[in-house]
Amino acid sequence: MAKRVHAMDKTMKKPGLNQKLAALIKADAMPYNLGLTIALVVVDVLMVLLVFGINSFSTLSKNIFLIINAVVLVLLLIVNLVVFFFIKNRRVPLFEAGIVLLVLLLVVTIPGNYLVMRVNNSMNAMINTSGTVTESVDTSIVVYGSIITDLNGLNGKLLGIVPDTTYAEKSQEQMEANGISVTTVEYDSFSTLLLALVGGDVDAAALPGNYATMYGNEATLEKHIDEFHSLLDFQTVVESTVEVDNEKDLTKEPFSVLILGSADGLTDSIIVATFNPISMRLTMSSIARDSWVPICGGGSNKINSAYSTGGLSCIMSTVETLLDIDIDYYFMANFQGVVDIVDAIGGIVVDNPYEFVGQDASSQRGHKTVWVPAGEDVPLNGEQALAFARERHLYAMGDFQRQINQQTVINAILTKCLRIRDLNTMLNVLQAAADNMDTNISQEQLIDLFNYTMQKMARWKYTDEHPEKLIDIVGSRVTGYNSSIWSESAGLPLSIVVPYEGSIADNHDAIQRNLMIDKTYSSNKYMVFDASYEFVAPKVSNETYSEAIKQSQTPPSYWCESTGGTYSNGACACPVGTQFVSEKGCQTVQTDYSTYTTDTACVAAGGKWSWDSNSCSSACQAGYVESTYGYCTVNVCSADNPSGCTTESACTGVGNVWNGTYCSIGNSCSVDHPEACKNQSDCGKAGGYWDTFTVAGGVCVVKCPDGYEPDNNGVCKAKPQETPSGCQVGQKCDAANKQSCKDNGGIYDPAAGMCIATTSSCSVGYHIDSTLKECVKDTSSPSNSPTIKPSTSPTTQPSDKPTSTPGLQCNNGQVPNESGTACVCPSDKPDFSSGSCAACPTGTQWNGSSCQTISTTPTCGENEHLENGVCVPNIPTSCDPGFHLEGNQCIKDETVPPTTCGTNATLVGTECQCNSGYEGDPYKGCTLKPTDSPSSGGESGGQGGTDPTPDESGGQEIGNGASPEQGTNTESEPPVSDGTDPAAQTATLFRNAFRSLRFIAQETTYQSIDMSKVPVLRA
Amino acid sequence: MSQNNTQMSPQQLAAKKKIKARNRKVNQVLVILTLVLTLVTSAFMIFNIVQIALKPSGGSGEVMETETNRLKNEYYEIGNNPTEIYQDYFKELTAALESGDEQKIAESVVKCFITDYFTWTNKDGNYDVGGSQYIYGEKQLSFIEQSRWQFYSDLDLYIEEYGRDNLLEVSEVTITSSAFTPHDDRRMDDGYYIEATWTYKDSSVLNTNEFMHTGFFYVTKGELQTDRYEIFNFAETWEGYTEALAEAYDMEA
Repeated sequence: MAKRVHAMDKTMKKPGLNQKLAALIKADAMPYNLGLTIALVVVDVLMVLLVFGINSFSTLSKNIFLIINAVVLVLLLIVNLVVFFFIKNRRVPLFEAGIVLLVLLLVVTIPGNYLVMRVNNSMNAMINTSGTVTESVDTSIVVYGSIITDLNGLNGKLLGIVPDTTYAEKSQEQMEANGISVTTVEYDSFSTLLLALVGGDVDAAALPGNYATMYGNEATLEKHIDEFHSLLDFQTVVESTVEVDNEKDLTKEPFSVLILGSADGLTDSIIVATFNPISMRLTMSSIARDSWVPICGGGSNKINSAYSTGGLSCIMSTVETLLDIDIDYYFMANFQGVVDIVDAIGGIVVDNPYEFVGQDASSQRGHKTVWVPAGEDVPLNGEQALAFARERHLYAMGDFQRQINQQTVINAILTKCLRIRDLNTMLNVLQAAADNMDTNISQEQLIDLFNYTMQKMARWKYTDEHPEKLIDIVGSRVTGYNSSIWSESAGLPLSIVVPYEGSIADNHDAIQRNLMIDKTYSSNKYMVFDASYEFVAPKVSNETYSEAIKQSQTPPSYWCESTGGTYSNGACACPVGTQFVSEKGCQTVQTDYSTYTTDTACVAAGGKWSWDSNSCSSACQAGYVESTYGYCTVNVCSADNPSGCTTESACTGVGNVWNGTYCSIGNSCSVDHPEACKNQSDCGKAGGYWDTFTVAGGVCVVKCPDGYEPDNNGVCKAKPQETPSGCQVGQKCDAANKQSCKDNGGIYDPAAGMCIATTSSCSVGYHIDSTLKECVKDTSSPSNSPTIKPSTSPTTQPSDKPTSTPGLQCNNGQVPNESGTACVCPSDKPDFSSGSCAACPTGTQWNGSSCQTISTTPTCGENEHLENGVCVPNIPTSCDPGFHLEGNQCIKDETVPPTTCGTNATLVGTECQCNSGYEGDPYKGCTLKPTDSPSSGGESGGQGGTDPTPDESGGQEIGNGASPEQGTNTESEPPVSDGTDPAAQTATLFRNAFRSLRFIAQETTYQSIDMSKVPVLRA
Repeated sequence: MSQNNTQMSPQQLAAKKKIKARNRKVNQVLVILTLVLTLVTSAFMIFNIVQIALKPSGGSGEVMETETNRLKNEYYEIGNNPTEIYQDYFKELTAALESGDEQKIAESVVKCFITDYFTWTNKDGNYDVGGSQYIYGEKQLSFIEQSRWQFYSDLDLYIEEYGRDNLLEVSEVTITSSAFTPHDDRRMDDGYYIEATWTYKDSSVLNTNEFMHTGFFYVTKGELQTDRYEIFNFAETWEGYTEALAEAYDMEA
């Protein structure tokens, strides 16, 4: 036995891993069975989750997804069966196979599920197809100034609201909840409400929480923003309904999307995009955020406030109404989204003409920390791209240029996205979109559209070099002109943009065509192409339109005086180095508008074009007015153009109203035009105030002059002076302050309501009582009236005529008037504002009530016009016979030899002569002489060959050496052949035809074209 | 083993048997569980496969099938979905390239261009501008854009209203004149001036006579000065050429 055992030991090998494993399994298979089963369950679940998770993308390629599912099914069956048989049989190979398969599948399914989950979460975060949009509405109860410091201070006060908005509703609820009783005053827009708050028409206003951002950029309101204080800020969540059509097949039917770029609750970027899947054309129409348009719910406002007013549904319906279109979907992104997406795709490339440092993505205005370089094909990262899309101050077109830049950025992003090839970039883009974007286009629709585009890409010949060119992107803007709304109470304007009706119509037409709602066939049925010329796509909308502009309500005097100028007699005298620009005031002369030689370029650059002088300048010349946007015409005084009336007689002569210094439109006296009211009663009824200080006899004004306030009868009276030191000598003050007048060493004159010096004279009928230190009526017993000397005739004779007051003594430079009944200043020293008579300062003149600045605008002579405050000669537009225009002068013809002959003429010596066979004016162009024979040219080499039609006889000899440079010209048809070798003859024919054609093109037809300036359509 | 068993006490043996019995039960459960898991997983997968198979393809927007085996030669490749006549003319072009006869090459280029550009029945959409490869190299993309705004601009309407099959299809091209034109000092290379007329297949919905069916073409060698010929300019007629150019390129005539 021992020997056998020993022999057996010698022949047995050392047990391997398999054997060890087998032994272990055989000993107790339970842990292995359990482990494998648990692993199998996990793998099965993960695999199924993965496959179901990618189902939503199956439309990308049905076949591929079917194959994937089949492969997964087979793998699952294999691994399940392996584990099944292992549990039954406990075979080691099965165990090993099972372990390997399970580990492999785990390695695939765990990260796979992570990816799918990430993608699906991103899509779900971005997409909202429920039709309900939940939005947080921030409301603030705002006051102006520091008088009211808490909410209780509003008890019994006026609260301004914009009715039918969440802000109004919730604010009133808050007031009731806090037990505060207010009277609401309704306004049709937040803009007018804000101005009313500044003007003091209301004590508080219920505004959107982002009111500071909304109006912080307003030049006129910037300085007031710090005076606004919020008494209460609160937030409410509201749900609004937005129609959604997720059944629409976006690969078959054109659709529209409203793209909104939002920040701080404002939609600063508003773009209407449409896509036609057959033509693969994408149109983008930008709308300026300051466009003054009808807003949902009634009233008008800046379009970017529509979102604040009524959320997404409001901005969509507002745009639909403006352009008369239907919008199918929306797509909203915030600033950070632009930054993240651009960074995710590795940056974009644009052409940037100006280098600048711009705003970053933070909402803090003025946070300029992003440098954007200038140049062509400049690479930009996310922050730079955002700054580029937001910049407007550098450009003459301001916000309009910004809209172009926004479309440029969108184009560049699309271009880059179409070139994405790696999964990681795609995931990063999705993540960026998920965090910062919202849309109601469904995931299926997006995937279908993506799939469709990829299929089109497969047919596109230039997929490798220019995949983005597959989609024809057409950008446009709804153009308009700058204007403003004037608030009389606030004395402030609000800048707005008024869209051109023509631009709205053109954009509407382009949208309707791309949506195939307009099915008008308009294409040519022929084609012409020439590689010498660069094709430029036609523009959808013009920069300007010849429409009557709605005159700005803001008086030019505001713009003038708020920017340092002096306004008088309808003209603004600006400080040196500045020039008056309408709707802006005195602006530093920056742009040399004289370099613009066409009206279109001039107006587009912000200049003013005058057809009379065919020139461009920054403002209309004196005597001219801007009748349509950008165009100056002679400022003719008329009933509709009161600014052309510079004198009272001219003004009233056309039925307008003269206001002492300016003419206003002479509508009948009404609430809208109180200035037309002629008496105090009508003025009061029209809501105006009767001012007897500015104009003798009185005039109706909407606001009393500075220092005056209306009394209970609606008449302007001097405001009581309230100075810390009381009423001073020379000041107007009421009776309540007469003691302070006396305390300050003055004499109080109750009739004049004024504190006068002790050496001054009282009003007529009064005398100084030095004891009382005030003027008392003459009938009272004066205790001391040293200025009134007893006359030799103590009693005065009653008379119809005013008689001089005996012994009237005037002081402070005053002299008795003609009747001797009062003291007045002499005519050479009319100004008594200092308490004694004085002449008006240099540069001013007496206007009957005060000294006013004399206009420094020079009066130009005949054949001159005012330019930059200086008279310059008019540029002649035509010269007398025998003279020609050279530069800005007429030069006698004979002094300059002609250098340019007309068509079909040649310069011979110093004179032009018609070519042989031609007649007419050699300087303007010669025409063919009538002839019977097609070959009547005579100078042709032969008579054979094809006869051209009679009116096509060029008379041009083939190869006669005539040089095109000498001004010879030919008709556009090939000339007569000379009957020699047909092939060579034909070749020569056409060669010359082309040569002459090119000459035509260069010398006569396209002389005005400078090819270097032909714009190139950039990728 | 018997030695082991004999070493174990009866209690140990009993415990061992108990464990074995329990393990057997657990194994049975695991077997059943595995089986059930297999069946359930398979059911889910089969359901998913059926669901995908029955799901309509993404979007019903039509995209014409793109052929993979296309005729090509040294310088050109035939366009998408070529018509029969286009294939014939392309073969002529290939033969002309092989022969080296430049005039024939130029004429074939014109024929191929006309056939591809003025045929709409094989076009997927407005972007699918035919014949662009025969246009002067650096202007090809510009030419496509110009076509999308001009001759091809209403193709989406035509397709939607009439269907592709009823649209324009060139049936024959005839070269009516052809002449060599040497280069001159005005930016032109040597080339050929070629006039051609062509006909369309009858269409029940379009009046093909209204569409361009005659033209002149200037064909020149490309920048590389190889045998690749490209069309530098073309138009319908000489008459009014400058006006037509001015209109096409939005210039003052």
